[in-house]
Order: sequence, then C-alpha cells, then structure tokens
Amino acid sequence: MLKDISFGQYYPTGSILHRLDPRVKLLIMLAYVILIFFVKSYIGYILFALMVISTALIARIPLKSLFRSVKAVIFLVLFITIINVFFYKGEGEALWSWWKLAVYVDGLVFASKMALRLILLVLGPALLTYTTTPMELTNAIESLLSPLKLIKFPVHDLAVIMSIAMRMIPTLMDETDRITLAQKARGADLDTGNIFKRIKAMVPILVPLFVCAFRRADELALALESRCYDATPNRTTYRVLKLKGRDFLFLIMFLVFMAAVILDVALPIYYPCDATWIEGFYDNAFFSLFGL
Amino acid sequence: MAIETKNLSYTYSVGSPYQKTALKDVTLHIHEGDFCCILGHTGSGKSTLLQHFNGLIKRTSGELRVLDFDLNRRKPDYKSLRFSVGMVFQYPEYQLFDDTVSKDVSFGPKNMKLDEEEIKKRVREALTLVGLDPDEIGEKSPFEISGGQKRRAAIAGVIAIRPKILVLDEPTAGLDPKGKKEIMSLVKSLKEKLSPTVVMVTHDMDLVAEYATKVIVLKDGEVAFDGTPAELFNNNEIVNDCSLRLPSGVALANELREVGFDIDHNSITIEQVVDNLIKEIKPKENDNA
Ligand SMILES: Nc1ncnc2c1ncn2[C@@H]1O[C@H](COP(=O)(O)OP(=O)(O)OP(=O)(O)O)[C@@H](O)[C@H]1O
Ligand SMILES: [Mg+2]
Repeated sequence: MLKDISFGQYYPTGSILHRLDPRVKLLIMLAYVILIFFVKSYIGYILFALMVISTALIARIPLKSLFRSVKAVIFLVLFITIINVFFYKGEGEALWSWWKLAVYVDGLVFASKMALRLILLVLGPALLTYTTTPMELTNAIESLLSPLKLIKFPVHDLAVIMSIAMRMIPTLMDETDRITLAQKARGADLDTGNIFKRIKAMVPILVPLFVCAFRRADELALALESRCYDATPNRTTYRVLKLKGRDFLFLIMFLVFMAAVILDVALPIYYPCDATWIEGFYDNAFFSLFGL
Repeated sequence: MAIETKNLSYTYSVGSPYQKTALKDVTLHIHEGDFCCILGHTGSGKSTLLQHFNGLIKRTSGELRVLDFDLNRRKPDYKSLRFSVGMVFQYPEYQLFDDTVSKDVSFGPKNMKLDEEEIKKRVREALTLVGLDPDEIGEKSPFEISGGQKRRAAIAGVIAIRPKILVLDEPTAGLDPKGKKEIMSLVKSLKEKLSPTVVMVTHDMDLVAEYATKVIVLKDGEVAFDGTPAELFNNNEIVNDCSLRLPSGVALANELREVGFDIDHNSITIEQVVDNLIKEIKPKENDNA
C-alpha cells in the first residue's frame, strides 16, 4: 500500500550516476531546484525536461518508473492548473467566459508553465533519491555541513538523527504492511465506506504502529548507549567521500546546462525588445501545436 | 479437502528491480483433520503460501481451492474466506490495539456483523479457550498484561471468528521452552475443539515430530517434500538438501541404531524412541534370566 509511493525510493541499476559522489548530486539538485524558479520561457522548460530525461537515461531508470513519482502530486498539479486556467485575469479578449470564470491566452500560458514547473520540481529530487541511498545522502549532508562544526554546530548528531529517521521509514512501512495484513485477516475493511468510516478503520493499524515505533526507539536508544555512542568525539567514517574524474565530468556538464538556462533567463532582460519577440514566438509556436 | 493448490506461482513486485518469484508451481493437498507443518529455509516462500490460503495475497497464477471457496473464479468472496480461515501471524501480540482485551477480541466478530449477544458469547468462548479469564484479564488493557498473555489474547482475537482452518506462522517464535509448550498444547486443544484443520509454519523440528500428521517442505518456492514426518526424517537426502535439523528423537534413534539397537523408523519423538528401546531391551533380559 505505502510502497506505491515511489517518491524517495532507491532504484538500483549500478549506473555511473548511482556511483557519482553524493555531494555532487546533492549540490546539482539544489542548483536545479533554485534555477527552475527563474525560468520563464518554454525554451527554459524544454531545457530542463531534456536534462531530466537524459539523466534518467544515463541512470538507466525507466521513464515510466520516474513518472510514477509525479503521481503523488498529480492532484496538486491539476488543481493549480485548473484554478489558473479559469481565474487568471489576462489582457485582451477572453477566449471563453461564463459567470466569474474566464479563459485567457495568458491564463493558459501561465497555467501550463506552472504545471511544468511543478512537475519538473518533483522529478529532479526524485532522480536524486532514485540514484542515491538515504545513507549516502546523509553522508553528503554531513560532509557539506562540516564547516559549521567551527561554530560548534552539532553536525554529526544531526546526521545521525537524519540517518536513523531514514533508516526507520522502510522498517515502519514493513510494520504497517504486517499489521494491516493481521487486521485484514480478522476481517478489517479498509477500502470501503465514507471518509469518516475509513479514518476510523485506520485505528486498529495506527495504534499498534505507534506502539511499535516507540518500542523500536527505546530499543535503539539502549543499543546506542550500550555501545558507548558519543564516547569518541572524532568519529571517522568507513567510506570516505572523494571526488573522482566522473564527478568533475558531471559538474562540467551541469555547468554548461546552467549557462544555457541563465542565458535563456538573462537574454530577455538585456534585450527586452528581441526577447519579447522570441517569447511571443515560442508561445505562439507552442499553441499552434495545439491548434489554438 | 481443506486446501488444494495446483501449479500455484507468485511473484512479488512484477516489473520492478525488486521482482522476486516467491512460489513456483506449488501443488499440494491438505485434508480436513490434518495437522500440516510447512518447513523451509528463510525466504523459501512459506509466509507467501500461507497468505494465499485466506486471500491476503490474491492468486495470480495456478489454481487454488480452500474449503468451498473456488479462488480461480473472477471475483472470489475474500471476506467470507477470511472468516473461515483464521490466520495467526508471527508475533501476533503486535496487532493488539483496543483499550481492553475483550474489545480487542471482539474486533473479528464485529467485522462479521454479528449481533451484540453473539459477539459477547464468542469473546467469552475465545478467551476461555486460550486460558484467559474473561472477567479478569478481559477487562485489562492489552498493554498491561504479560507477554505470554498478550500472545494468547491475540490468538483469541483470531479464533473468535470460529475459523474452520487455523493457519499459524511461527506461533512459538521468541518464546522460552515452557511458553512454547503452552502455546502448542493450546493449538492442539483448539484443533480438537474448534478448527479441525491446522496449518503451521515452524523452524522447530521437535514440534514437527510431536504434532504434525503431514509435512510439506519448501525450497526456493518449490515443494521439495510432501509426506509424513517419519518419511521426511528418514530421508537423509531431503533433510541435508533443505538443510533441516533432525528432531532430538530421530537423532537419538540414529545414534542407537549405530550401536546396534533396532529402532523402528516410525519412532521420531524422544518418548517413542525410549518406549521402543525399552521393548528392545526387555525380552533380552528375559532371555538372560
Ligand atoms: N512484500 C514483498 N515484496 C517483495 N518481495 C517479498 C515480499 N515479501 C516477501 N518477499 C520475498 O519473497 C521470498 C519469500 O518470502 P516469504 O516471506 O514467503 O519467506 P518465508 O519462507 O516466510 O521466510 P521466513 O522463514 O524468513 O519467514 C523472499 O525471498 C522474500 O524476500
Ligand atoms: Mg515467514
């Protein structure tokens, strides 16, 4: 049941992308997320889409599996798109209007861009979690935050808390599955009835799940203490992160992509005249595709 | 026939990198009145097979028939099936959730939509059967009773639906020898009084020797052996192949045979072997006298 949410699930194929330094992947992903908020033109979104698709191909992740991560936000995307299509007040003549609702060309443009942005926003981090284990991510965060140790920020403790939390997610999902099966075996009905009935039907699953979570937390605390956690101030790691040739290769490739996107963002600012023409051209080209 | 499968196969997570075939062409028959033990290494597919029996896993390939339920049909009645096949999971005490033991036990009967009176009756009956006092333990919170009592309470929650087949997945896991004995004699009495057919997964060969009338051994999702416990434990090839341990009775019998005693191959528990040995020795003493 919970396993259907593929967001944040490792998809092992052993590709070069999986073997990349997790710090590089994390930084690229951060830049990707920030960058996408500056993009305004369809060209920019096409660049991003190409980047996502080519990355998925290199990682040997089937596009079908990748797009499953969008399923989690599909309702949000639809909701925002529909709201924008009908309530966006554009200039010029409305294409269609009824009561307080009106559809403008600008609204369609705006809504489609919004949807694209949301989808791309989900796909980027999804690619990261498909190719990087939670453990690697934690190591990357710890390594990237390590300068903060100078101001006595407990970086290592933070990393341990994060890795424990992530380690617990699959355990709790397994536990949920097991408890659900046990209650179903006693005839629990989880999939029918109205919303209140369904929420009530969750009680026999949630109570044992919380009990289990607390029990595990207790056991873990005991295990940590009995192994003298915190006795050695400077712990070393088994796998030391080190940048390799392939990491620089991907960094350079991403920088080229970034340059292209920045060019696309910056051009309309420096050459407003031409740019509107370019913008308008692409917008119209886009709509002519749909026969508008 | 209680349970009948033909070429039953099952694959988890089809099409993902975690795809795993857990059952391959499993064909077996379990008769009414059998005490059937299912053995096999971890990951051999035992739990997957058990979950087919009450429709928690839906049959995808092969044939499956449980009691009067034909699960090969388009839309089998899973709900009634689950009320006919009681399933006790590993560590069943982790499924307790309500604020009193009685209320928790009534969860199954309530789901069956029985009337108030009948529910009460069944809760009392189930608690009494597992050896818990309905008036004393029944009113306590499931979180304040002992571990052994919790397991009994959880089993009561399953038998309150009065299943015709009782399926147990390692019911003695994590118990001390005394607790093990208690749970097993409970299972035995439930078989006599309530559910005539019992299917149990276990790793404890002594329990198999003592209780089973039929044994099925799974190996990598396939049936490696199907027969009586005596046949299994006298078949060295299978025992080694599936890396099963021998029950202490059979191990003792083998040692005795090596030093020249003629022990019947049907003796597989310590008691049976000792009886056999006494019979062996007695006539010889008479001869000497
Ligand atoms: N939900 C699942 N998704 C994917 N694979 C699974 C799932 N459940 C079990 N498996 C796999 O199917 C195989 C059979 O599992 P199963 O739980 O039936 O084994 P088992 O014989 O009960 O083992 P054990 O003695 O450890 O309980 C195992 O290899 C397991 O990894
Ligand atoms: Mg199992």
